Amino acid sequence: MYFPYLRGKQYELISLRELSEKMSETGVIHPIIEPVKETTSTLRITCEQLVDAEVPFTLILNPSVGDLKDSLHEIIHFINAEVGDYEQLHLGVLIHSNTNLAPLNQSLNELENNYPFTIVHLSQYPDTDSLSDFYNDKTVHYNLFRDSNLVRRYRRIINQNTKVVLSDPFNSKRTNADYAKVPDEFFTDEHNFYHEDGYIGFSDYLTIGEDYSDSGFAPYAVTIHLTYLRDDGQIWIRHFVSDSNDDYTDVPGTYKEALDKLIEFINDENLQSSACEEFRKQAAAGHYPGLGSVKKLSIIHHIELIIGVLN
Amino acid sequence: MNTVIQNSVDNNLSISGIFSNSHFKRVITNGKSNFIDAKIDKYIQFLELNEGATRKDALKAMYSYLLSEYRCEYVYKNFITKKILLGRHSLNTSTLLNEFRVGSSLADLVLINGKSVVYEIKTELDTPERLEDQLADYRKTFTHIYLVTHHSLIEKYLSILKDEEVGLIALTNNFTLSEVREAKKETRYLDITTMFKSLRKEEYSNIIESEYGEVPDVPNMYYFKECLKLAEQMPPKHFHKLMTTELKKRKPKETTPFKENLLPEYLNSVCMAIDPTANQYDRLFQFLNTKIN
Repeated sequence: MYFPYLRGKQYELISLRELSEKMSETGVIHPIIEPVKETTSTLRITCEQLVDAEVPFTLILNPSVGDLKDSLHEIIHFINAEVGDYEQLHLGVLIHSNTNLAPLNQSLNELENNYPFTIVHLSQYPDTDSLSDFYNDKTVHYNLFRDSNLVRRYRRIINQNTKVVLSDPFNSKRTNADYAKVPDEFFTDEHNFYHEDGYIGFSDYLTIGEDYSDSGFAPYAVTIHLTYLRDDGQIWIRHFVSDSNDDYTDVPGTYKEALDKLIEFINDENLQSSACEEFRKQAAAGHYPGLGSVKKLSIIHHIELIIGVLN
Repeated sequence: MNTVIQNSVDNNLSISGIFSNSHFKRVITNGKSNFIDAKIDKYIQFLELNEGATRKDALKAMYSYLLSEYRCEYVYKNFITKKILLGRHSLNTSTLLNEFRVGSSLADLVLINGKSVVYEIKTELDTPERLEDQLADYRKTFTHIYLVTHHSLIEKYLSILKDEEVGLIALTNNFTLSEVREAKKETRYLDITTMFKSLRKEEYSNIIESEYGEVPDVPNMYYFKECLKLAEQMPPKHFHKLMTTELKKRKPKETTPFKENLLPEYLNSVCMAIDPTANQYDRLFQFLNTKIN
C-alpha cells in the first residue's frame, strides 16, 4: 500500500478528486489528508468523491500545521456532518512531543460513528504508558513511523501488521532557482524494500515535502517537479527550472521555459501518464493554467507512477 | 521620576516596527492587532498618557519618540506623503505609489501628476551604497528624481551625486521638508523594457490597445512577450506619457480621510499603502479610538 500524505490545500485535494476513480480501481492507495484550511467546500466535495468511489482514506484530527491546528471540534463536527458512517474513513492522530492525548481522547466521544485509526508517529511520545492506554479501546489499522527505532520501542503496543514507513524524500530548496543546481536526484526506492523490512506500506510527502508554508507569492523562477522510474527500479525526480529568473513580470512565459524542458524529457523517455498528457496539451495550446494546477499535475503524476509500480 | 523611553537599539526597532503595513492591514481586516497592543503594553509606563487615553494617543506618543530619537524611513515617507496630499498636489490631480518596483530596485515613493517623480529616501541610518544602481533604474522609468535626506547629510549627498539632474530635499530640524535643489526633467534614459515590466498586465494591455487599436491575440504564454515587442516599437517618451496615464488610475479606494484630514498624521503613509475601503476605515478608527485600560 502507498499512503500519500497531503495537506488539504485546494490543489492537493483536487488531485485526489481527479484520481478517485483510478485509486478505486487499483486499491493500492490510501491517501492521508491533514486538513489545514477552515473546513472548506473543497474538502467536503473531495471527501464525498472518495466516499462515492469507495476509496479508503485517513483524515487527521489534530493537524500540526495550518489554520486548523487546534480545531479538533471543528474537524469532528465536519466528520459527523459530511462523512457520516463511511466504513473506510480512518481517523488520523499525529503523535509528537506536544500531542496531548487525554483531551483528544475525551473529544472522541463527540463522534457519532466508530472508525478505525491511523496513528502517525512523528516523534517519540514522552509517556509510553498513556500512549498504550490510548491504544486500548481502539482499532488501529495503520501505524506510520518516521523513525524506525520507535518500531522497536513500541513493539508491545502496536500490532506488527500495521507498520507503515513514513519518509520525506523531497529535498526542499529555499528558492526555485536552487533546484537548477541538482536538476536530477534520487527520490525513493521504498517500494522495493518496505515489505522486506517488515512494513505493510510506505508513505511520503510526495513532491511537496513535509515543510508547510501557507504564503504564496509570485515566484521569480518556475520549477516543475516530476518523478520517474528508472530501469534499475529506483524512482528519481527531475526539476525543470525556467531560465529567466530575474523578475516575476511574466509568469506564463517563464512557465513555458520550464515546460519546454519537461516536454523534451518526457518525449525522450516516452513517459505516459495522464499528467504527462496534460503537460503536452498545455505546451501545444500555449496556455498556462496557474501554478496550483502545475502542483496538481506533479502530485497526480507521482501517485499514478506508484500505482504502476505496485501493480 | 523617569518616564521617558530610553533610547536603545531595542526600543528603536521595537517601536519603529509598529508603523508597518502588515500590522495595520490586520487592524483593517480583523479590527485588532495583538502586536500593536503588546507594544502599547510594553511602553505604556513611559508614555505619560492621561486618564482615558486611547490607542491613538499611545501611538502618537510612540511616533513622537521616533521623531526625536529614531528617524527611520517611515518618518520620512510620512512627511513626504503628508506634504504631497495636503500641499500643492491634491489627490484629484495626482497619484502616490508606495514601494513601486522598477528594474531591480524598489522606489520608496512615486508621485504621478503629469510628470513622474520618484522620491528616494536616505535616512541617517542608511548608507549610500546602492544609490548609483537605484538612480540608474529610476532614470529608466521616471523623469524627475528627488533624494530626500536629513539636513545634516545634505553636503555629503551633494558631493556624492555626480548627477546634476537629481533634486535634493532636506528634512529640517523642525520637521519640515525643504527643497535644496530642484530636480531637472530628464528623458534621455527612459527605457521601455524597464517601464513595461513595472506595469500590471491590465495597464500594459491598455497602453498597447490605445496605441495599436487591439491587443495581440495569442495564448497567455506568449502574451507578455508579444505586448513587449509592440511596446518597444514606440518612442520611449510617448510610452512614458501613456504609462503615467495608466499609473494615475491607481487611485486610493477611499480619498475622504486624506482630503478631510481625518487621519492621525502618523498614519498617512500606512493608509496610502494598505488602501482601506470605507468599512475598513471604520474598523481602523474604532481601533484607534478605543481606550486603553
